[in-house]
Amino acid sequence: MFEVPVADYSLNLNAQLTSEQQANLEDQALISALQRAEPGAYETLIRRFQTPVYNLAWRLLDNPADAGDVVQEVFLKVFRNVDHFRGDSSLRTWIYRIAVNESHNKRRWLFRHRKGETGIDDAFPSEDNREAPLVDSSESPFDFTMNREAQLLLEEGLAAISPAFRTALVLREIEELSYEEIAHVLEISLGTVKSRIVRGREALRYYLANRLNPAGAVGIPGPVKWAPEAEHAK
Amino acid sequence: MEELSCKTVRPTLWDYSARLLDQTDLAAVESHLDSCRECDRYLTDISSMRNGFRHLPVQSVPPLLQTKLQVRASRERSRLLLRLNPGEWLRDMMYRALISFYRFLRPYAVPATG
Repeated sequence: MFEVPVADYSLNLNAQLTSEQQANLEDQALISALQRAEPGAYETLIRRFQTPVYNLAWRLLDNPADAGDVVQEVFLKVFRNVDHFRGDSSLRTWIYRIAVNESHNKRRWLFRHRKGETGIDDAFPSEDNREAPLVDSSESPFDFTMNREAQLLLEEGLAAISPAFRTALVLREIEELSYEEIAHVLEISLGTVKSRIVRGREALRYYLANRLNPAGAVGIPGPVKWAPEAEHAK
Repeated sequence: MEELSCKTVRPTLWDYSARLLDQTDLAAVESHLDSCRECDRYLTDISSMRNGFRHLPVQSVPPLLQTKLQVRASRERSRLLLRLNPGEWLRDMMYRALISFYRFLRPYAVPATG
């Protein structure tokens, strides 16, 4: 089968470099290779970022098909704008910013155009499910079911909270970005990032507590609504 | 040591469960947790959520999407190469013009050959 050549842009210049410095150097090497249209540079970029970008879009939109569209748009923008990338932030932060913006645009579009639609996809097994390989999990069937239930509940909770909180939470807890990186990605202040994360966690906890114990969520504060005006007033 | 209120402690419990607190804050939070059942329960919820986040499955990129990305990359690379190299661009334009010309001639050429 035809193998696409993948260039290796990892550097071993100096063992004393911190991992962050090394990552920055690798980013710069990859960017200049992309700007020169070197063979293998595009494939390296895709291999490195396709899974994180797909997962980010998937969690922000909660729909694999829409996430696929967003991923294509993100990479197209990256390819076409890599000339203008000035290196003010890391390559990862820049790509994540594009992914978050594209996901928000897509969500707005879906909100306007799919209001009255009813999906029929759920009635049939998806292509993904048909092709899913059988995995010999080391967990017991009971543990597997319990963990799967917990994951589904968490995914459901993430989809239920405000998009602004969800984005901040996904970037922090799943993509493991630092507060500073999230501020760069979302183009908001550090204080706003921290506030959204704290309020997002609280909203998620409230949602999960209510789902697990709908009768008596006693003493649990109500869900936090996102108010952009309140944030700007800070 | 100053006794902390629940309102102060709760926002720090996420960092506490991630072991990100410094020694002073850690001691203060632990002292509060020893005496407050509600915050202790809150910590259990927070820890479960953190654990859940860490075990969320990574979605693999569908093969069809991977192929589409490769095709886009190849197309974009060709465009960039043409832009970087004016000679290539001129040759590309010439080939395009030739192809258009041959297409234009086809309806006349086929009957002419019998």
